[in-house]
Amino acid sequence: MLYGWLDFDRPWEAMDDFRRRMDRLFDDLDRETAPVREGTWPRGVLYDAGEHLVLQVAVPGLTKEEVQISGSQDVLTVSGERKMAAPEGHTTQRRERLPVRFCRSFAFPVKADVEHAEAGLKDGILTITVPKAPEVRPRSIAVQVS
Amino acid sequence: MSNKHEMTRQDERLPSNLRGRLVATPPVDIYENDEEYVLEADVPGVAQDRVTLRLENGELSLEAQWSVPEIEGATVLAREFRPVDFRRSFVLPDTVDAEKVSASLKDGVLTVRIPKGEAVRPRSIQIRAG
Repeated sequence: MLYGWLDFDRPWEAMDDFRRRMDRLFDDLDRETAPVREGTWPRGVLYDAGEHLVLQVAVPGLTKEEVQISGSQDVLTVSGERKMAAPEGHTTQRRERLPVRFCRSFAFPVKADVEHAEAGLKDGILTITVPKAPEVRPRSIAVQVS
Repeated sequence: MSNKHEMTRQDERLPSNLRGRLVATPPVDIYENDEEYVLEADVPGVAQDRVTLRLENGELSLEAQWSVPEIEGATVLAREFRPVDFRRSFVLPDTVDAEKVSASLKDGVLTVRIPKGEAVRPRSIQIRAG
């Protein structure tokens, strides 16, 4: 996935890989959790909420200034950097949370209107709500009785 | 200056399923200076009023419950993580001042400050001219 920055000198290969992985991911809907590589950070959940698609990403420790979101009609990309430093004058005794520079893309199964996306960050969970494109929104069809 | 006291337990590293809810061990960093230990844990999705810290017999136990509201009427298209409760406990050295432990939660990170007892803090000793 576009997780490693080393992939950036060959963007199309990374993109193909990304699509393959996303395809596999959507094939695995029955599973409890989609297969993601160990150490993948941050992790997300994509919801279909009828008129909207909702992406939740767990980014503990990041403020809204430290997260960038960009998107096109069928991909949202969340990027940023988590710097980890010991508090002033402290030494590190144990380290399980690693500093990470990340760039993760999440593909939508349908077209969406990224222009009107809204994002919020609360308790370390980033929630991005994107309206679906008008042509793919669910609509009710009246049944005429003749 | 570190006394190499192992605060964490090795047998608590795997997620488990307790009372039907998924429980995970949050990743933790521990920092130290002359006055205190600072413990930081990633607990994304947990609101402040859903964190319980208990200190008993020199053991600090942390429980934090997932508190992100469900999105009404939504179905999951792809999932890389599940809502989890976090649980972990730490064995504190005898030398800490248990009365003064304090904690705060910000952006999904829990910070616990554990002051060291007076007895073990380094102090400079005045040398009087004789």
